[in-house]
Amino acid sequence: MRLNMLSAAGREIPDSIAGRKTVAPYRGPFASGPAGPRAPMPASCSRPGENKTLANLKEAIQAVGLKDGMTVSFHHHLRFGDRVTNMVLDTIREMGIRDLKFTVTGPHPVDDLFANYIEDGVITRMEHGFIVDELGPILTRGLLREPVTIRTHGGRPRAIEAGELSIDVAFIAAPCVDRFGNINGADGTSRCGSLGYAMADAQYARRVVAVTDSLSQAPLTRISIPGTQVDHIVCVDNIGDSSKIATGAIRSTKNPRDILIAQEIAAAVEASGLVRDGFSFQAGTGGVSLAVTQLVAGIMQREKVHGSFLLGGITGSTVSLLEQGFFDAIYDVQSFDLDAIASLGSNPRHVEISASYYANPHNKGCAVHGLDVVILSALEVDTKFNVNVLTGADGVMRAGPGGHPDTAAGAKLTIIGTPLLHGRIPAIVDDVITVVTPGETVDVVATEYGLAVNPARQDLLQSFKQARLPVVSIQELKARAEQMAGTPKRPEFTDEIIGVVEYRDGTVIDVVRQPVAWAGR
Amino acid sequence: MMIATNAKERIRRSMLFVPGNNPSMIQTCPIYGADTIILDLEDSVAPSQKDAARRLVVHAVRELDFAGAEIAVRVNPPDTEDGKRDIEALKHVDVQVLLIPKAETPEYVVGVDRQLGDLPTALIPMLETPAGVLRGSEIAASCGRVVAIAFGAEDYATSMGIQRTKAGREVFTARCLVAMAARACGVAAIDTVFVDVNDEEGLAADTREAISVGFEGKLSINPRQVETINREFTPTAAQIDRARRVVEAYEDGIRRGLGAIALDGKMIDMPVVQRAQTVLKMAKAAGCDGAGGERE
Repeated sequence: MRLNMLSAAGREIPDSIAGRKTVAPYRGPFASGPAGPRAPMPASCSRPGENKTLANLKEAIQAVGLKDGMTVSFHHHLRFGDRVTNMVLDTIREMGIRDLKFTVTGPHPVDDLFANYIEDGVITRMEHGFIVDELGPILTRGLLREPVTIRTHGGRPRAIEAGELSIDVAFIAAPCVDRFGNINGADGTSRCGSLGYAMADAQYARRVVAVTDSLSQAPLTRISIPGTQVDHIVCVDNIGDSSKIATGAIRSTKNPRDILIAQEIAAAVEASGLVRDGFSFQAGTGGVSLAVTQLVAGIMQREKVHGSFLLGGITGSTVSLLEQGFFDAIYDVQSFDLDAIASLGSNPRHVEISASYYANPHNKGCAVHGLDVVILSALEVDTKFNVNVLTGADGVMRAGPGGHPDTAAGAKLTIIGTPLLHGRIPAIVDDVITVVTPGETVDVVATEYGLAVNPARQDLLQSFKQARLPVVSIQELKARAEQMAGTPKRPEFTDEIIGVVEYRDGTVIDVVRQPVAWAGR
Repeated sequence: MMIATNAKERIRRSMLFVPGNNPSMIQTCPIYGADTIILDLEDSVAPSQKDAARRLVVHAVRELDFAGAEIAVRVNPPDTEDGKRDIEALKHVDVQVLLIPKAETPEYVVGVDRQLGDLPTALIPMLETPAGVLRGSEIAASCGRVVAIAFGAEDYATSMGIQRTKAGREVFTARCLVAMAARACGVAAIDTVFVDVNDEEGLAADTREAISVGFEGKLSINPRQVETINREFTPTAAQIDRARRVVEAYEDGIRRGLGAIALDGKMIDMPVVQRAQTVLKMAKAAGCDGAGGERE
């Protein structure tokens, strides 16, 4: 019989879930440590003069011994330009291999995922960080054999290192590779900058195949993933569509509402007193975040503050702050535009880091734990400050945690910026549909109607009031949203679990149940 | 007819146009700090959208919380069918001000005054043609509902057959005439829009120019302009301090029955006192008459 337990975020979690060995409910942001030592890394032996390069993907798949039921992994650094995943999965399907567990490091569209690979039984299970495109409806219809496990950017390398996510073969889209199998992402025609999210996969997967369109005759001098971890190299014509891998510089917003939210956030950051020498900062790549970054730089300039490091997904806007001398370094786990990629390849202060160093809590240290301030967004926030960045108002998974819970837990000040309404849907509610980031790690919610401070942060509340910032209670924000848009009718759910939301430490903070409207579809 | 008692006293530093057919902009417009929100049924609404926009604006005025901002509507020209329908529909909701586009004669405004009957709605005629500018004082004095007149430089330039420039020399005289007409009739003068929404410095300079010739407020077409306009119309800390001392010295002089009142060795006469009172009124509206928050 299945019993329900309560996670510390107040969510009912069953004590057994298909595909999981254990279910430990979330107990608090730092309450659960590692269960034991790390999983062993694979060992191998090589001979002098061996050639790692194979003729094609089929040979590589045969050489690594991929069989029915195994787990294959891919990374998302080529973003919407990636061609490797479809190439590899097409070859796997042609070879008649089935029942695979498919895992990707982040948001990653796969062409005709359902028609090509799920309906045929090539993919039957998934562990993912982010849900895009048709994947949400596929998962919501319950078309996989087991619920999908949703992990954070820090939680995924933690799970790999702990042996909870055991990868048989990692196929690594490699923008540049030398004949020893050394890989980097900063060179080659399909360059994407940092390969931070692929590093744990390369270290721990039993077999690693580098798929490249740029085989360097000269040995690489800049190495992201060393040849010690790479079994085989396969050259293909094109690993990605470079116009979709990296865009030109991502620009700040001109939307007056978003600018207003950004101004409020910047004022809150200043009032917190954290903008002082040695300041460290992370903001996303959305319009509000970029505007906040510029405004914070203005504060640093005015107050003559010299910062320590910038973290996270890196854009040209972040790079320009490094180049202007506002900060000592950038720690880059993912490069978002051409300026960021160029900087990573040329500026020694722009440092590529692994996802594990970025955000894995079960290390002897990780970068997010050194953050002063992080600016994040939300699909919805509840009056307990819990944040949902996974399920839409209809209960369908449409996004994912990324580094949201990791940075929220790590930073001294976590600010969620969101408009009060997304379209006509209130962003502030009584209870979020899915808890992804627990309220105890969120300090401030910033909307165009004012700043709500977590009651646990009376110190911040006092500072904000002294600075005459527009402080409101989270209940007032909720009431105003409902006054404008009405009280949203929440979807009803069946008992069928379609997703498991892991907190960064591997405990289960919430589960995603199938909406009644989707049952039997 | 009686307009609301505070309608003439009201500060209108920034008057933000919001397209009357855009629900999401109408919904968010109160957050930008504009003193007056103008829901626009005229230029920003295509002819085929007029009916829908009118219904939306009526509904918005009835249902939404505009967070203390003054609610105005720019109706279509009142001699058109759309204009007549606009005024008729708005009689049933609490709109504080109507903006009358392309006013050229006092009779034009008096017609609207009659249509409004006993309602307390105030009027701001817009002077957007040479004819309107030249009859500015007659239009400003046409009826008791007029609380301000506004200059529309874009349409004015079109009627004159001249090119608009950022420096604005070509509209300087008209601007001065509008400001003079307003002052002569005891109503406020509201300046034209600044169309380059990406040029914050240009907007600030244009606003300072308007202030220098006697305008008390400025129209705005983008929420991003509101903060700059409000800032420029808000007195500096030094101006507020000086105004406070002038008023205090004057009141003290009156109490003591003095004939001639001086401050820092200079005579204070009535116009100086009135200007000081206006500064304090602006400061109060901007929320910076107390401790902190003043401009440097």
